[in-house]
Amino acid sequence: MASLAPSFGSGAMTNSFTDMKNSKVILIGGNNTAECHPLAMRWILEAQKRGATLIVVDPRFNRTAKVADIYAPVRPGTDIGYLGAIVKYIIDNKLYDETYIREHTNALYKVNPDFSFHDGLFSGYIKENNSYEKDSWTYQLDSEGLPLKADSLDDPDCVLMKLKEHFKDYTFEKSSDITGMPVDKMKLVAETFVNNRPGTILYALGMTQKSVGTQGIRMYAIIQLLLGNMGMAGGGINANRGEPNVQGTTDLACMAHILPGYIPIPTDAHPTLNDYIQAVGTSTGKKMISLLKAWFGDKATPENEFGYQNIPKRNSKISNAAYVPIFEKLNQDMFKLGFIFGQNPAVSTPNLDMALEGLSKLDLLVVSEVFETETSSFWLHPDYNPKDIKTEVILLPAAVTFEKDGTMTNSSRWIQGKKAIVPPPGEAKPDADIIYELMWKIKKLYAKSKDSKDKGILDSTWDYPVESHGINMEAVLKEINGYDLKTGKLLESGSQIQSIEPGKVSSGLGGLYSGVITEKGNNSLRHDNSDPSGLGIHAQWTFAWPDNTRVLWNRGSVDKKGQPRDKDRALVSWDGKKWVGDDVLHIAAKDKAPDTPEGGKVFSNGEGKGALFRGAFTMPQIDAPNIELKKGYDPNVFKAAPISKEGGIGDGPIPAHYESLESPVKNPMFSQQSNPTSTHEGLPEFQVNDGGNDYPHVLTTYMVTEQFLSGGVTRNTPQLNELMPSNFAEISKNLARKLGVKSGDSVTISTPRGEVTIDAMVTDRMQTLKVDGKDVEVIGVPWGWGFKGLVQGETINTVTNAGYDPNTGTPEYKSCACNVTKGGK
Amino acid sequence: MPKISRRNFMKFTAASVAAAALADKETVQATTLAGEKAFPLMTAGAATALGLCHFCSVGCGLEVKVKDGKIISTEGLPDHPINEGALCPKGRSMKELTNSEERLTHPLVRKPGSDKWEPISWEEALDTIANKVKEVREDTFVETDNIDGEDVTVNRLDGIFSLGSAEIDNEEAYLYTKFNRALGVHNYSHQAEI
Repeated sequence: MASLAPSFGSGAMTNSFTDMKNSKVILIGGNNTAECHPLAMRWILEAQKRGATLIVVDPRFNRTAKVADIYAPVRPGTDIGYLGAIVKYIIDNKLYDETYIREHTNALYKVNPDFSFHDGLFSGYIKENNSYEKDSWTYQLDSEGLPLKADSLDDPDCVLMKLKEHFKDYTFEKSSDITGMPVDKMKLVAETFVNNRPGTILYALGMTQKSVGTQGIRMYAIIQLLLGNMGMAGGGINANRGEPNVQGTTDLACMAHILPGYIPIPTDAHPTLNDYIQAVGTSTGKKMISLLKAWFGDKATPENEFGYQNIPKRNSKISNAAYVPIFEKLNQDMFKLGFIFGQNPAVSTPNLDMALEGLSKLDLLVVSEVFETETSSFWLHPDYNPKDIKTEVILLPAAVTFEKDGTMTNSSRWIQGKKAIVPPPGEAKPDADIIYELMWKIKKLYAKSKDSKDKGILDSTWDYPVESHGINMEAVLKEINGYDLKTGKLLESGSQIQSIEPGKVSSGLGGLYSGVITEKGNNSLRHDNSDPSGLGIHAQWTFAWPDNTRVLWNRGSVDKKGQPRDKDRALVSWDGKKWVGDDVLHIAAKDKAPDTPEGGKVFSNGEGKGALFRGAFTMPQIDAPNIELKKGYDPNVFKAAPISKEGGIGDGPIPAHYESLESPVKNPMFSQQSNPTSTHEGLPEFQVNDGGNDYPHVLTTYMVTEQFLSGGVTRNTPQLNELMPSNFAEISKNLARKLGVKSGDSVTISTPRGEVTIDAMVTDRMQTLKVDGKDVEVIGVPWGWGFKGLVQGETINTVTNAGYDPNTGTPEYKSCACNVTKGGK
Repeated sequence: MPKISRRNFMKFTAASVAAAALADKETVQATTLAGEKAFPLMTAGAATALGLCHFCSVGCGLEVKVKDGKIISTEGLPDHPINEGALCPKGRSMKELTNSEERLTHPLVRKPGSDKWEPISWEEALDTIANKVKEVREDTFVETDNIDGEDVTVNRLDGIFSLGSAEIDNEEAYLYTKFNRALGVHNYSHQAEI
């Protein structure tokens, strides 16, 4: 979500599954909805029934393509190529929504004259550390520090004209040379998507698992802003996420670079809470204090910076990436103990030997799981002798969803509650109880400590009521929701954190989920499925963050007078006195008229404008007094600090086409071959790369309906194994002919990192692509196979590349160079 | 420390007893060699509960039938606005997943160099882990780092990493994050990153 948040203000699927029926055109690029989100597909089919056109762009003619009106093939990793041609088509032909981009985007903002882009590099590139100084990726500012606006969209300094200049070379012909997508198909995709509004875009890991993943999603943001599709029923950008609660656990920040509610983790550049608030802005600063109050309760006081020093500070010199670096550090003997709860990295890690070798360096590995997995049992891997592995492993039996109370957040931000139905088998327990009991053991061990490093443990509030079936989950949900500490009442909305004095309000999620449970009851358990709008809003079904808003940025669906831009798709409107409608008004002030600045605000990023150009920007506090702050924390910091800050995206303010880190193709656009900020070589002994000479094909990986992700659960489920008993490698008929291979024959797929043997499936679903006049073959392999479970198979991640997107750390699973030969090992 | 006692789940299914009584009377007609015959429904006498699918992130609702403390069927929840009673094969398989004989039921330990799992009590397992947490914290904790000539409090625990999990509930993920950060863990990630 590193792309949507800086573009708009927060990063999540903008609309809902039930909203997709309102679209006139649906572009699915980087998601195989029919296969991976089967029940989302019913709403796409419903849209089709109502006359919508379905466009599928994918390297493979997949199950979703089978029902598409338009299918266009694309070489893995080159989406920015064809999306650049669409942006050029929109701007050259002035097909953008002029009112929308003038009012709600930064199209008119004047860009710093020092900004430039030449042969694949933006201004500010520092070759020594493969990164950018972002000083020139800024606006021209007035004396108050606010962006200067051009009078006309034709002003060469304005963002729109910078965009036009940047994409001028992305002709349909050139983009076809890059992507392998035929010119006529690309034109049809562009015309169909641009000329039918509202349109929505769906994506998933097919876009993000690339070294240019963040910038690919930025292309979607730019296109949807230009077309005025953001905030519309049937519009938006619908990120279809993978696991049952991955939206929730991202919100809850099981991640290195954030705290719950997307509050940035402090770094060593912020020694005190004052420093932190000045760096992140007052709005985020207040959220941070509410989180500290939730975590440390009465122990969090203004005098001790609310316990700010108890939070570990990240090294400011490292990027957001944590997943691949954890496995690199394992191999460098930096860890003695690892916790792995409900994850199977011994299948899912790219360049898999790195993970297996790494785990064997630990003293103790603690795994909480439902089944024995390749990870809990890595010491039984067929390539290893258990005698040589000195790691102790403790495997804790976890309960499954039907055995515990709690909430999960689906992809479209619906926080759905559930109650335990049956007890767990034997001595298995919910993960919450395991963590709860372990923390008490640790608290006891430190009970007598006076050491400041142990305060985080000792001061942590941990008194959850214990009931017959475990700790009371509603008590945890209430802590997440937050309280007004003066009245002791549960918060109704996260906006209260901005209006109540810091320190007098708590929320474990900085207000993101506030309103999910109030004094009136637990809204995650609401089961009224009525929908008077007919638009699939279902406002009384459970609860959606934020504030039960179902379509993000919906202020953009109405005009200056607050009247719906599309009467058939009215989400909210101004009745002359107040805001009304079936959805909850987002971002704009609910008590302000639409023609006021507060009532007209659509987006919540630093500028409050949709970012066509995403540079660095600080929203100043006008007339901020020059006050000497007392050390540590001083409430006056809220008068002095900026309101908000945007850091910009590390690899550029506008996307550009780069080849995958491993590609058999020379970049047809620039001499800069691949993303200049993604030059990952952490462990050269594992991460062997190759220029492409011995590896002429492209390998891509994906999932099938019946075997879910790493297969840790589904490969233990007989009825699914009957449907999908073994793995396969999809290859084109053309390649099969050259290799002398037929379906069912073994093929060996090799990269510089190793080889795996899998049965070939020769299929028309894979077509030889024409790229810059040359044939390029794509090989596709489902990835969720391993040596445990009731059915087994070799893991394709043995050969995939661990190079990653520099913004997110997401590895480039979707595209690496490979070779294929007939026969097995 | 408060103890969690043996679990009692009767109260969760009691609410649906009335519905179950109705189902008791329902039968299905079938033709056998002996002629037409009425059979009781498989779900006769079962209680109904609401569940959520635990695979992809669409968030489908499930109608879970429970009989004698055991889940006997998982079907799509007709009232759920997204799936409206339909399910994919994975959602449909949640009964089999829950009841699987392959499930882990007791804590296990694999000793260094060993080629097999051995049972371990919860008490011993959690004590072992807690003691190791303390040992590694004492060995690898970094309280301050020198940044441009100034000592900055960083309170980082270098020697422990944590992974997981997009498969657990919000409340569980909240506690896991709170736990990890309280310890000082900064090498922390899960499925969302990859």
